[in-house]
Amino acid sequence: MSIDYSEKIPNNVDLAGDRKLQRALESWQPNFLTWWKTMGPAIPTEDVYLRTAVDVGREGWAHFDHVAMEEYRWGVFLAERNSDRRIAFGEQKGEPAWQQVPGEYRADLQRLIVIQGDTEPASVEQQRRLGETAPSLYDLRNLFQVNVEEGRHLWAMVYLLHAYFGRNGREEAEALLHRNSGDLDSPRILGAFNEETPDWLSFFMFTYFTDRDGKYQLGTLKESAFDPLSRTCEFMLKEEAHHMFVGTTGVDRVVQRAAELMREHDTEDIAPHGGIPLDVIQKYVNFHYSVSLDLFGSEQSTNAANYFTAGLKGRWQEERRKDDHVLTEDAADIDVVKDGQLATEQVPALMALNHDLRTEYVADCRGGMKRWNRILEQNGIDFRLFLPHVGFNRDVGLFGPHHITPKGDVVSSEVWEANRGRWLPTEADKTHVRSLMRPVYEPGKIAGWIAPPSKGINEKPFEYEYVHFP
Amino acid sequence: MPYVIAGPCIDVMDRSCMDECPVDCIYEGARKLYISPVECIDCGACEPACPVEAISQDRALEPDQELHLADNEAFFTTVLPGRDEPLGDPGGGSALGPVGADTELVSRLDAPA
Repeated sequence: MSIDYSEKIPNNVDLAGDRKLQRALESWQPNFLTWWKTMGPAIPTEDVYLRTAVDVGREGWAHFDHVAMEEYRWGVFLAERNSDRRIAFGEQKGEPAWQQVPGEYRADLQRLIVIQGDTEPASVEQQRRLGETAPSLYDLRNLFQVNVEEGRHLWAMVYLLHAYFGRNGREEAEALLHRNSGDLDSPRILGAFNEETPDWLSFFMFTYFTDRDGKYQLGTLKESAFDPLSRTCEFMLKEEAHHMFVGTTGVDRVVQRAAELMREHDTEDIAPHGGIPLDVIQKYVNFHYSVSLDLFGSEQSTNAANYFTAGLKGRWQEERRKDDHVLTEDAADIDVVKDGQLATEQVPALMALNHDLRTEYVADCRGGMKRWNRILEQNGIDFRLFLPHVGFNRDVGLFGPHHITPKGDVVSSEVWEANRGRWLPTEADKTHVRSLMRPVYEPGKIAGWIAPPSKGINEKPFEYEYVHFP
Repeated sequence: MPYVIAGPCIDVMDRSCMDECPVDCIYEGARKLYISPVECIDCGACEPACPVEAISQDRALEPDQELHLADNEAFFTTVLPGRDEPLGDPGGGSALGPVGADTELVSRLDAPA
């Protein structure tokens, strides 16, 4: 069904036909708006040129207009239902997808939804102050687009909790607004979502590496036998694509500008010339890539095996894979540290599903490196960015207890600490990047540390007044 | 290289993928659509939009479709019939409009059965 914008909460799930659910969500809505006002974008704006979802079908889904951000129409949008959909994997493969939550999987499904839901407001909180230092109105608009859509993704998860998980679900929905990123007493659930996003290079890295993790996590939930979760995630992925656009092209433009300054001043040390040196960009890659790898969980996971077997969470592109989709007889190789050396170990494929998903993610990230190195090559710069080893700087999983260099050598904690500043952003690096963060709010102007985009949003020029201030 | 449009698109050209792409990196040939490997950001938004499952990540192409990996790139790097130079990085498929030509490979391939 199409989206009903006449309702207090825009939706395509016939909220009007379920008064109890509608009342429950309408009572959550003011709490969400209070959270948005206190934890959302800090800089006051009059209106912003934003995309709003108007349909979920194939005939175009987004509408662009200037919108006062607190009046953005956050709502509940699920992809169209396929009434013949069947479970594609696990021990119930071939049976009809579930329209309700089976009792035996209630706790696990709720947990998966809460973990996904917790990431959505977390990133808004992490990015709260970035608007104060936006390098251009174009970038400011893109930040706000990401923020409102993360807010909508929170709505998507809260709808599921309210609609399918009773009182427990409603309590979890409340808790999503009470945990806060980086809060010592009540932090967000996953580590990467408690890290700071103190500058725009971090923002672009986050939207490249961490939102790309989101692409893969949502992709596995899209395969879920629980059809409302599947349809929710399918539509969220459409919106997530914009976030990856912001990250990918944002880093493009930082690298491009670095290359221009290197050529102009004939030096790698472009910090005195107002640029971000490539070795600092590499350290930011190392940090954001490694904390994002932690989001995939341990390489060997009984939980992941159980979720798959039960039909709760599939693999990336499950239906396109050419195997039995049950995996009880299959094996997989995973990376381990054995006797102080990197090695591979064969384990049951079901136990290696997090590793499988991470491998897909890593392949995507290699594409980013290739893209950014192409920019360097075109500018005649020899420096090349690279992905550190998957074991580098890990807190979660089999590599967690070990120290591994970006090149993949297992080293002692002394060697690690002695070289930490060569591999990860130092206070001096962060201070330099922060020193460049000065707001540029004049239409058509841009900060000196980043190149302008090749084109604007929705066929508007870069010079367009994407944001109006009070 | 990122997402690739393969043979099932030939003579179908549904174009739904073009609406989904946040960077407008899908270009319209005469019989088939092509993704610019330079402009694609690997977001994956196009893949579920295709009604004939013609779009895949490069690493997930069916063996008999792998020839489209190089061919998508060739659309931008070779001189297409009726043109004087390669398309290069034209900066947006909908902005450029229909190119009206295909690669040599696509020109001689039959539409999928």
